[in-house]
Amino acid sequence: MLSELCEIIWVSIKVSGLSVLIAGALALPAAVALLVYRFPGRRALIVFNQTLMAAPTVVIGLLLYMLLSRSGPLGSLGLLYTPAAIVIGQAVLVLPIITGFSYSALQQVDNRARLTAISLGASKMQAGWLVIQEARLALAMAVLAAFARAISEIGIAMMLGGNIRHATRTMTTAIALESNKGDFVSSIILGCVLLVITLGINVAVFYFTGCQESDE
Amino acid sequence: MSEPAYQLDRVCFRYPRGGFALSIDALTIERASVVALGGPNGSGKTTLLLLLAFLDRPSTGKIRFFGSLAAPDGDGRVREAAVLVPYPPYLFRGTARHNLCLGLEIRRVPRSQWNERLAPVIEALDLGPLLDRSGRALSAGQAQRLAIARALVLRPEVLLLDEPFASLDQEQSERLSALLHGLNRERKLTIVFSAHRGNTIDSLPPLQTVRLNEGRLSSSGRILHGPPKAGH
Repeated sequence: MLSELCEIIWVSIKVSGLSVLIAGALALPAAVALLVYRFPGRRALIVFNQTLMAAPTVVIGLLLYMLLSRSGPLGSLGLLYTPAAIVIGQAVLVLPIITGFSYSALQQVDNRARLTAISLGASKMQAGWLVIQEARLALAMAVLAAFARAISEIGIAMMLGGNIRHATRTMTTAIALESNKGDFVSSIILGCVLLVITLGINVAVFYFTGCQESDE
Repeated sequence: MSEPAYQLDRVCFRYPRGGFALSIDALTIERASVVALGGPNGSGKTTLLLLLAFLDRPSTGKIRFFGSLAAPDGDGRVREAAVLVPYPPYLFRGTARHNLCLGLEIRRVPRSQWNERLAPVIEALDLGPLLDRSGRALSAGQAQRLAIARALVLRPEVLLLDEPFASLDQEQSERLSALLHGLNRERKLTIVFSAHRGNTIDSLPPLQTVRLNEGRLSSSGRILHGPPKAGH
């Protein structure tokens, strides 16, 4: 029982962590590009991204299910009902979240930071990196918020993972299953673990914020 | 004959969302000169400094930098030669020392040269006691001195200063004035600074004054003056 619980917790942390890592690697350059470059459709892209930030997980799950199912265009990859499918789904879910929050965080950095960096001789790339460093706290919070969103969602994990025991069962799908079975003890334990993880993330953010504030 | 530091030819700047900011038919800033930009708030002094630093591009017109047309966004030559210190100055996260050395790091100045560049500026602007403090914890005047020092250690040919004396007390104003004056004489540093208070213009005797009013040049001329006052 305990080992299975640990396994479920590990699967949840693993898939959500990976999805945030992948989405973060794509979202941060996208946020920088949205901030730095002026191109046609930029505003529309920002609005579209903001819309996606509120996309229901079941809609994302459904669309990806159609792509990854055997009869779908990517069916031959055999990803449906694997942890990889959940990773992809959650990455799609949190990509706009990290992009949106990162864009907002970078936008908050005083424009004089970029001007000063360029005037000191920085290339656009170096100036961008300095601006990112100035916003690192808000960027870290964007990533943590995305992780909290990914680990607590159920629609994608259920539709793309299938809640398969010892394979794709996550905390949220397990809670749903155990509740349906009437095993509320297991559900509550898993729910508490989920809350502890979220609490841990918040404590980390507060600690990090405190360190930054005392640095200033 | 050496080329002037700047030649502005029918330069006009409008904000991207409309709104007129600056229009100058012709302006020449001589090499190794000290130029004071005067004018009331909103007259276009900061906009002109941003254009001279090639941090904003003119909507129309051309700016020649030491005789050649620079790329609208600036190029390597411009970046190496001209440094702007905005007002209020921006200090990055980290210590005053980190901020002071940031430009040297960015420009990959060999570490062996750092001390020889830093020491005289630190001493002249009395920055020694501040170096290990967080840049964000400095007072406005201290931040101003640090930002100017950060620009000076890069040894630019042109120093663009927005309200450099605005947050400084009398003593620090005089120290800065003396330092800049010395650099102007010895290293032929071209200095363009803005100030809207008469007394701050007096702190650094300008060779040339440029007065702006509502984005237009209202006067430009040379001032002949003797050696700086004692203490400068």
